[in-house]
Amino acid sequence: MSSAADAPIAAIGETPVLPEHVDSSVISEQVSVVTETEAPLGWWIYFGISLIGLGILGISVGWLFWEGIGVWGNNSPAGWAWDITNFVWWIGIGHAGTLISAILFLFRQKWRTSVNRFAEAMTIFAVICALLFPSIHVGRPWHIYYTLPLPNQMAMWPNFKSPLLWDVFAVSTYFTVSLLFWYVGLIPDLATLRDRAKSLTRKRAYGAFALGWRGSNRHWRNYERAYLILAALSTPLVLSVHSVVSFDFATSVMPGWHTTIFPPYFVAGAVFSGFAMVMTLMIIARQVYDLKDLMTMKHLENMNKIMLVTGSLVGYAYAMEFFIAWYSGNEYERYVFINRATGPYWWAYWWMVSCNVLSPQLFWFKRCRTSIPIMFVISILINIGMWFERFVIIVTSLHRDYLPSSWGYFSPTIVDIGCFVGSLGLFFTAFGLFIRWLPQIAMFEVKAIVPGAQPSHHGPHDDGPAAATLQAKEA
Amino acid sequence: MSDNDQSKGLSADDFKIPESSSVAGLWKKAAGVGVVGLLMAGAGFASDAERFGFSWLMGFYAVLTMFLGTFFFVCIQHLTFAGWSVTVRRTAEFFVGGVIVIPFLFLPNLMSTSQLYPWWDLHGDGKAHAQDDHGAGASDHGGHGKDHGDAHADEGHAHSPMETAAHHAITAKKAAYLNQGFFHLRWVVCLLIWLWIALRLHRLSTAQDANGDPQYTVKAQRFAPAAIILFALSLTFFGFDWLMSLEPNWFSTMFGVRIFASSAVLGLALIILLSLSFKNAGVVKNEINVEHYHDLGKLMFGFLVFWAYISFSEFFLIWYASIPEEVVYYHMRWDDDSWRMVSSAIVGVKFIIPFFFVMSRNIKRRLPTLRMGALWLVVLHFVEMYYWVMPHYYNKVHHGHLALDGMGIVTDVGCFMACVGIYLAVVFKRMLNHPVIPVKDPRLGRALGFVNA
Repeated sequence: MSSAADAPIAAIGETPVLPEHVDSSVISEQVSVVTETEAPLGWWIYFGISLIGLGILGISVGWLFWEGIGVWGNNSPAGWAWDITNFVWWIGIGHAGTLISAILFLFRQKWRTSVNRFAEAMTIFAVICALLFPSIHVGRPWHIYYTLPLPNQMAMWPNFKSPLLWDVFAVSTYFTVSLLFWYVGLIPDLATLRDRAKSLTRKRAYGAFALGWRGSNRHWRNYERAYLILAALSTPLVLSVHSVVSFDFATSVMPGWHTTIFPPYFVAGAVFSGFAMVMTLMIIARQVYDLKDLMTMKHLENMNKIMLVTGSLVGYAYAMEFFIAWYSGNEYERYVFINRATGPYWWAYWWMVSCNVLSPQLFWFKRCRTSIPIMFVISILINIGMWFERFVIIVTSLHRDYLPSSWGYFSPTIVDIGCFVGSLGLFFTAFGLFIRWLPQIAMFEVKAIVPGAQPSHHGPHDDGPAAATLQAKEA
Repeated sequence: MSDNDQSKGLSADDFKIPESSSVAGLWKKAAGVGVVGLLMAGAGFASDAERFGFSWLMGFYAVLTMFLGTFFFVCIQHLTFAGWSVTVRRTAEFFVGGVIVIPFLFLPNLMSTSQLYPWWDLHGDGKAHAQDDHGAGASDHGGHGKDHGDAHADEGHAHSPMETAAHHAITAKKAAYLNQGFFHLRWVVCLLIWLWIALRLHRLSTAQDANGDPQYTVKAQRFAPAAIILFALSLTFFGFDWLMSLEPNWFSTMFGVRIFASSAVLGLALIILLSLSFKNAGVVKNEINVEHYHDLGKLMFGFLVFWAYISFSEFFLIWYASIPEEVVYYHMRWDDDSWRMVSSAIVGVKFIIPFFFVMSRNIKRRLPTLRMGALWLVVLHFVEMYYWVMPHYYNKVHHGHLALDGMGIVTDVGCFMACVGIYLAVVFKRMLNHPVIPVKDPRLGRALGFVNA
């Protein structure tokens, strides 16, 4: 950016992204020091709880493998239940990372720099958790490689017409590209950690992963190009992954599953829940490590606005589904939707609507958008609501089959709960390690947006109030 | 702002279109096209009022999507506090200002409702006539779908009695929504919403030209969220009413999103074309430069891909599940060779060719090629409007075959020219009253100094 016109204009409500006293050294110090000093007590408590969760996962999945899928509550009409609910929920959470890194990058949203590293790491771990569920749901997970089209003597191939197979491709592609994107973005910061390292082990470890980064002109040029290409590749992936997940449902002739708005509706929901999860984690990290200068209220407010937008998009999709179910004149469609709201799972439906559509409406008010306790609670409510959304779609559509004699009811077992809680443990353990060993904020990217980073900058006094006075004089 | 801010000292008079300019007379040309179109449309009406109804709806939707697409652009700039786009936002606002003529262009549609909508006389007064159709249980509604096209080929356009009864039985269930009274209420509300949100944003921007009061920007920013919600709902339900209910059995939750996506591509293409003609006429110099065109081109490309994604998803899910009430929409556009050509053209010529063409950075930064891409998409958008509306007419006559006789062409082209010509005449006339860039916008400096990084 070239001109001082980029300075925030206070008269129309603009504020700077970062506070004035933040400069390059502050950024390096605040972010790197987290990985260089002893972990605070809070981190150990957090990590301990996460490890317990991970243990629960091991026990639950071990028991599941030993006994078989029957230990879950899945039954004849509800052949999919918590397993696929968890899968879709985790995949959705993984979407914020790519949206922030890729789409907001293409839109040149500078505020993304404080958030993207965080969100990308979250993406990787969320996708790992997501991949777990369909894998253990196949019943004989040691045969999971059958989902890949590997030539074999039995000439057995996966069914290429099945969206479930497309899911395998879509999610694994997404995981690969997200991982690459995250790692490429880390390289300059890994070099910073290497250069700051005091011990030889640290120097060697970070040095190896920094791939010999020296910050030369050529390095930066190649880096910028690679990053842009990865951003362009990831952008369609943001849309395609959850669209393909939605095809798992929407290609069927199941009332409540088959509806054309599913692909973009799933994508909006995914971004929505992803942002909510980033928000939950960010508020904690910001508090624990005192990163308030780098993750400012403006960042939080912008993210709340995005949640308001995506929450409203999700609300639009709910409304369209409901209206068209009625409008279709198809009695099965109509029944499914009335049953959702008033049937045996009515509570799940109303959890979903209140958390996803109603709670983000508070973000219309600036006071709520800028209140840490309120946004923290809402971000958790949104995550709960988005879990219920998938549960509602999957279980309420299945538990009422076409024949009333086949109707059933799904109740989770202790192993269902163990697998879900365990996946949270896996996620938070991985995240704790990330916070501990890697720079959680993209230092070099934030440095690029501090005042003074632009070549044509005219000093710290060209800010909002001055511009406002000038304009007032003119008027 | 600092001394290198180029936005100071611009005055409204410098950017008003001078009488001598080549774009000053554009409105006369558009009006001429509109008048010729009206005459042709009138002749079409006299010869075949039914066809006129469909043709006019097609022409009207061509205009409506022009308005909706450009309105979305203006609204989203306020929502995102965008700086880069300030100089081209006014171009979009010119199209938005044309909203005042939309109610007039809309009125002829009201003459044709009973020909356009099979449900119109079925339950016009809001009472379901389900009783008349007994014997046609809902279980029959699977009967006609798969070989819909074949049935037409064999029996002409007459529905078999069973088929008609089944159709009506489903339609009867929608009577609480598809009835004349509620239908009229909805279009009145939609038109009022559009007039309100469009004129308000237009006025807030043009009023700022006089004194540069930043409060106008603040007001527009505050109004944009409400406006975009009203925009989304009105666009959706107006589309359900006037397009989706052309085949009252058909439904799709994606339909509103598809109308939006199509309009957004068109809006960006129109902004590119009109601002390029400002540049060529010398009304603006460097205020709208290659950086802005490049970004508009990127957005146009992005929305083209979004449109393809939406259209494909909708088609794909309907095709894969193959539920009779749903596939009827695509059978109508595929079973007959003539429509298969049009459908294929939408895929190949509206998506694949421009996708590869507009993808390149060089194409977007070279103005003649960018103009070609934008023009291409505008023309193909109008083909898509034909594809949206006219199959429903040909399904009633000509066995679903797209048979263009002389009078048919006169009616189609006439209605299209009339709607688009009159709308553009109003847009081009009203744009003479205002500078072509918002000279006092607080963020103008950002747009002037904007560089694609």
